[in-house]
Amino acid sequence: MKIIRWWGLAAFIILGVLLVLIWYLLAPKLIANAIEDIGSEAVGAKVEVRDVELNLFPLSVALNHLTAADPDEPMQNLFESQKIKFSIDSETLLWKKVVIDELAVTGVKTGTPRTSSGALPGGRKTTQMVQEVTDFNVPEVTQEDIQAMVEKADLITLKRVKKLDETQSNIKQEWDTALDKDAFQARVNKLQSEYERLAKRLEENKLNLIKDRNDWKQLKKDVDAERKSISALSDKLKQDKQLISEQIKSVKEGPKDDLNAVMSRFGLGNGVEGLVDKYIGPQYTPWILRALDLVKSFKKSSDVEKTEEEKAAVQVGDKVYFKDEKIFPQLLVKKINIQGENQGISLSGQGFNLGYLPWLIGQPSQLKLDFNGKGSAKVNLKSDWQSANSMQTQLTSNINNWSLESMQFMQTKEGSWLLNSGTLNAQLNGNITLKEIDFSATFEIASPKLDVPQNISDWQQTLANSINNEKSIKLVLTATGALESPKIRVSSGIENLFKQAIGEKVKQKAEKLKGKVKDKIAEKVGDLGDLDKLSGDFSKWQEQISNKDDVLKNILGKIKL
Amino acid sequence: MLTILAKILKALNSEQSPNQLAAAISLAAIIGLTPLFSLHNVLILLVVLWFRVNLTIFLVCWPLFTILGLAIAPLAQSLGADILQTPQLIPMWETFYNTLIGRWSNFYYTGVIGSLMIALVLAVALFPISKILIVNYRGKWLAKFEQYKVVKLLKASKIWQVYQSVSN
Repeated sequence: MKIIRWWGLAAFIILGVLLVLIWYLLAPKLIANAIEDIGSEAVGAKVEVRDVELNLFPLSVALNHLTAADPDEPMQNLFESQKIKFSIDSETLLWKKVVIDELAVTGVKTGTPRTSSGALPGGRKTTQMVQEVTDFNVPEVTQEDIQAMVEKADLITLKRVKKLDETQSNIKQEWDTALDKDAFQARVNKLQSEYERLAKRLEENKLNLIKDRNDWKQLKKDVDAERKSISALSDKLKQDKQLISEQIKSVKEGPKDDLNAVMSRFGLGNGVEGLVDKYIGPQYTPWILRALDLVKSFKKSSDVEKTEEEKAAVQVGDKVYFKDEKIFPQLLVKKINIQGENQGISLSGQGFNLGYLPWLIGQPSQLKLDFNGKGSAKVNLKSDWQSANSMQTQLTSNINNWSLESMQFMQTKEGSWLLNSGTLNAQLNGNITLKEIDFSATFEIASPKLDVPQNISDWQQTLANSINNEKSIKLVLTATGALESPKIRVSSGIENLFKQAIGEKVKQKAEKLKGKVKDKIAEKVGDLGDLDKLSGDFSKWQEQISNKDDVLKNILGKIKL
Repeated sequence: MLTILAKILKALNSEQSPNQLAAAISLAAIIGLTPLFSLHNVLILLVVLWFRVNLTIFLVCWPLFTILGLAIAPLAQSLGADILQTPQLIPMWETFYNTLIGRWSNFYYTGVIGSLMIALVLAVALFPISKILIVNYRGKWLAKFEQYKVVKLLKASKIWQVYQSVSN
């Protein structure tokens, strides 16, 4: 009986060709859908592509008319490009990696109007941070209200004290185990007796030094290993000291944080301090938080790199990562050229080595953008990933003599406060690592003229008039500290204008309330004077480590090799 | 449904060798139990079409094994994770991952490798078992079945008409 079915082979080939053809016809749509889905998720608003051109020989893709809506203003595009064209390296594609030698973005426009809303259903988390600021007032509260509020409050200070106690207790336990005198003595005794045995043999016959050379080497190795572990203990001691010192600092700052938390329940936050931060901050801080979210998402990817990451279809399961000899990132754009012009503003830019996962690129990623028109602006971003756990990103940016026409200054419940004229100069500089951020932006607006909404309160009208009479206003935005909980603040020389505007009586009332809340918190928290319970222990442990090392050094000095 | 049943009966009662039918069941087990869009399934499809594997049995068993595959997916994934993370096997997987076939085979997904292992074991076991069952059915049970009243009733029913039309 024949076991071969030749028409079956023909059917297989025809099926294969048909599948390739179907893929070729559907691929542009699939690429467009993928870009729209991933882009929308990243931007937080609709990303749309009109059509995609796909060429197989050589493999290249062109995205025609790509638009990304502004998540904060859905009837406007954040970005629009006429054409994005790039060719893909076929060889690396065989390894499931996309390498683009040059990507050209032309016809770039920003802030263009949309005919339909670009909002995503449900919106994006950070969008919710751009809130309308309610009016400033001091509520009428009694001593009982304050007492009840503080009693009910889950005070941060108490939590931090508890955490500190736990840390101190754990550290003490760890050190008691690590510096177990008996165990160490047993190990030293063993080394000492081995040394004595070898020394005795050497004394009997000098030639034994040659015979026992391997034993001497082993002894040296053992002593070195023991000293290495002692050195590691020394490092741990420093780290533990640092940890305790940070936690004590955090506990001491606790009452201040608690005060802010309780005061914000009365709608007063920092009291009458930081009004610029309260009112103008929401215009700027969401962008910083979004940038930080982006960095954190990379950090998350690096954390799970070697473990399971992707969840695909039900049957496929989780992906397990193995060492990849093809050291390319999943996606790499070696060079990117950007050109565009919109409403008298021209944009040109270049980018190098942009990709995902960035630590596999091997070279720093760079993006340079130049805007010219109503002034000039330069943005220079450089990001260097030495490894998955080490990143240094630098931002330097300057805006010079940029004429303002309609820039949102702040938002209150009555509507937007717009800067209708003025000249903007700004410097933005920052460093971000995977652990911390140090960013500052200085904005100086000369001859500001505000257009305010109707029905604003008296103090807000006073404030608007005062700002309009200023020669220039200066705002400084800073973001510093740990990446997980950065301190973002907007301060300004016009803080006094805010304070003057709200009036002396209100200020005094707020300060009085703040003082009462502070006293109640201090009463509940108790004495924070004696927090460091391990200061004596640390010196004791340091001494023990040094003594142990001296004993080992003594044996090492006597080893004959 | 009746047509499918009739086709199965036709295949079982036909003169095709038990090997062809058993191979169809085994190969259907592999393609059905493992994720469809996997490289090894292209090979299975080629084998099914190129060699005289019974297509009816294959096409009937495929969806049945797919349902079974979905049911055992958690077990397959857990087994796959164990296989991929066994320290002694990691060098082998690393070498395979760095080959073109390895990269496109998706073996590094727990569900793919786990279900493939289960499917291979099952396919190897199913081949002789189904072969024995088919031989026994044709040699002993077919004649006995025809004596049952139920079968006689069936022969008078619509299913038999369908079977006859398929046979012709």
